[in-house]
Amino acid sequence: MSETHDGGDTGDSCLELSGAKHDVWLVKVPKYLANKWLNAPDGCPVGKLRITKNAGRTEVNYSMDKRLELVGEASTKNLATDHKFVLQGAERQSLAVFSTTNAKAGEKRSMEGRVVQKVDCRPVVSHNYMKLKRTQMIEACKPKRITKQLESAVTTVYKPVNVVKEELAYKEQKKSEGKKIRVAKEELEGMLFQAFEKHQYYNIKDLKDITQQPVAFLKDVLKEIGLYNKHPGHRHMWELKPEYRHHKVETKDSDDSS
Amino acid sequence: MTSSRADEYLVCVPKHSSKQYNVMRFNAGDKIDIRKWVKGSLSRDLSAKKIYEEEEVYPEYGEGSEYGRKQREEARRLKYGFKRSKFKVKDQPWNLMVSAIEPEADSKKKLNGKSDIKPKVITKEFSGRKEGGIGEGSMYFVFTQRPDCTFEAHPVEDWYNFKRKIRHRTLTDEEAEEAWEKRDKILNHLNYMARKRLHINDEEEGGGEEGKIKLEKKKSSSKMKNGDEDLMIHDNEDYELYMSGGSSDDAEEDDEGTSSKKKQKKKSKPKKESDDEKDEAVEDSDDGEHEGTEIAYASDISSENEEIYDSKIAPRGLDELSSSSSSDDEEENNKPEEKNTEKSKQSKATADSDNSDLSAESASDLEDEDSLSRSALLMQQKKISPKDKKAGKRSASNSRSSTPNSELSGSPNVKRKLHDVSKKLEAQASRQSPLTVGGSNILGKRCATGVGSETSGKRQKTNPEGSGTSTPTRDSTQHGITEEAVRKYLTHKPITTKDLLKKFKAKKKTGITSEQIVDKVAKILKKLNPQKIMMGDKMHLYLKLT
Repeated sequence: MSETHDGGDTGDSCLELSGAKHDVWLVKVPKYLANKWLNAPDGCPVGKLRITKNAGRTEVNYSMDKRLELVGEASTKNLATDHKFVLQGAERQSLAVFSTTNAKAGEKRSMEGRVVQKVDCRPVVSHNYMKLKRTQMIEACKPKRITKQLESAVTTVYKPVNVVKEELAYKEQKKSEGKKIRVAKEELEGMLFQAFEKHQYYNIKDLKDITQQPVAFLKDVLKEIGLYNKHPGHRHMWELKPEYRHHKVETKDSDDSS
Repeated sequence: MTSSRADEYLVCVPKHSSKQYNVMRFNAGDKIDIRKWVKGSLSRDLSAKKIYEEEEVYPEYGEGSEYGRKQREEARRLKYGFKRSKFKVKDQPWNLMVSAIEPEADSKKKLNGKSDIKPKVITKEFSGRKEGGIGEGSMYFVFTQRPDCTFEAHPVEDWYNFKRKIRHRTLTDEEAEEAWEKRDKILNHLNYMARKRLHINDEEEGGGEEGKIKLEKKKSSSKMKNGDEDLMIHDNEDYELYMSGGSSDDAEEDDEGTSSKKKQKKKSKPKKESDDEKDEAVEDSDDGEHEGTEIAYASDISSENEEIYDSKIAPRGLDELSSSSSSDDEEENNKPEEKNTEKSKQSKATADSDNSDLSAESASDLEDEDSLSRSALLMQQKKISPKDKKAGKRSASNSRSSTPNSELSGSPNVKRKLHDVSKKLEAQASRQSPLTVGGSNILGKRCATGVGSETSGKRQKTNPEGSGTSTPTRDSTQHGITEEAVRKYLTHKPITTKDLLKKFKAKKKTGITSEQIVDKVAKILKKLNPQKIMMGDKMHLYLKLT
């Protein structure tokens, strides 16, 4: 679509009025017929309109193209019915048509015409029509969800176990990693400063992950250089002490201590 | 000749059309003719975007940011199942602005016989919203005719209803609530709207105060239907006086450092009410203040001058006396309009009550009494011959008297009330003719106290007091409003000011107005300086025998 991600109106706001002089009909078409029309093969006329004027009254009859009968679901094939277009006059002053063109550059908006006739497309009741309706009803009665029998038994039921396989693997992995090794204090401080360059507030868990240091040691260092925030908004979060703070927007220096 | 003519046309549904067709629907009343459009612009209305914006934007990097905040927020949302609806531009309404050349249909010009109509370029703005439910059961197609007379059918994607954008002023929330309150009260809508327009016109002229006075003049001259909260059934002159008096009153009160808020609120209330039409029905929502009060529908309306003065003074006096224990049913019965004036007077009264220390103590008490007493007052005032009415009331209440002596004991309260009343009266008196003011006040108070009390033994008491002496004025002596009399009442039993006034009112003969009585009694009380005691929830006055 032509809208940008930020939700702005990228279309061309100028409304083209060249098409406003045209007269159009607004036709209400039943769903099954509309589906046939939209699924018709390309370039093929969908039908014929026969307009007759009988004693001052206009009658419009629509007959479907033969090729269209093949289109559609199996149940509705070969069920062509005639339709008549009932002209309902227009609330002439009030309906109009405009179009929006979905161009990549910008959406173009133009008037396409004035509705002069509101038309209702009604099927002529015939044997074919009744058959069509019957099939439609049968389709509608069918449940949307069906019960299906499985070929084989379900294997994904889980028996309760003490330790799940995945958890066992996780524990192994943790053991293999072993205890965290303390690095030098300055080094840890350097890491912390680096981390605090990026964000002001950190959770102790996140710091643990980042620094890979034992918690006690980490906490000691943090107590020296940082503050523990207890107030709502950034609660339970560590931040650097004011004297150490030195926020840079663009670059991230490795050491920023005062 | 054959009347039928058969034409056959082919219908094609072109595929891979780059255009998507939509329907525009306008209001039939707008009489849109798109062929007359000269220029148009169509754009999406993005005003709803701000709703979809993040409430609090946290910085991602650097200061103020948290490590892993975004992930945590996302995990939180997933856990609680928050579904965020995205802002889709396609679903937003359209903003349509069209300019069309339309002949200026000027009716005035037609009347003059001019035939030339100037075409004018008029710009209209529309807002187009999607209509749902159009394509549920059937699809719409747009049939256009190609030059070679075959029809092209294009499916319609969306249906938009275009309405004109409103240009007139809409009510704010507060205004809308006010209008809602009044909805049952306005009976004459034409009048209501006319006044509204007048008000606007006046303000535009830069009328300010003058405009308001003008407006109120006009309003006062119009008829009221079921009474009004403002309750100003006065003529223009009276209204003027009222207005001028009111402003000076307010100024004084301000100086005395009273709660200006209350005053302003109350002041605005009557003003607002005066803005509303007098055709409004009576408002009965005073938190139960008027519960049980009976309204008498009297047809007589007292003289304008009296009304003005009475109404002005009455509320204040009532405030001070409002602690009397009895309500004036009788008087309320007689005057339906009481209620209307009550409100406005209430405002003044309460404002005034802030002045005096005494009244301030029992402000809450007073307020309840206020309405009653005020109504009583008003009733009194509005009567053509207040004195006669009083006499009538007196006689009526006579029949109800049961324990005459009880009245005497209620003296201390009454004295205090009278004290308050007198203060106010004096204040008022300074601005207007003292006699009428005082008279009406006293009158009102008396009525207020007198009606409500079932034990009105004042009549009996007043008789012996007729021979009272040592009264400062001739009038007082004549009517027994003496220091001795008051002292007698006060020493016998704690009495509310209302009751005390009732006693004096009862024996009041023609020749002294209620206001005068109030005035005198107040003076006496001031002199005597009785003690105050709270009995029940009313302030009673009494004198210790020493």
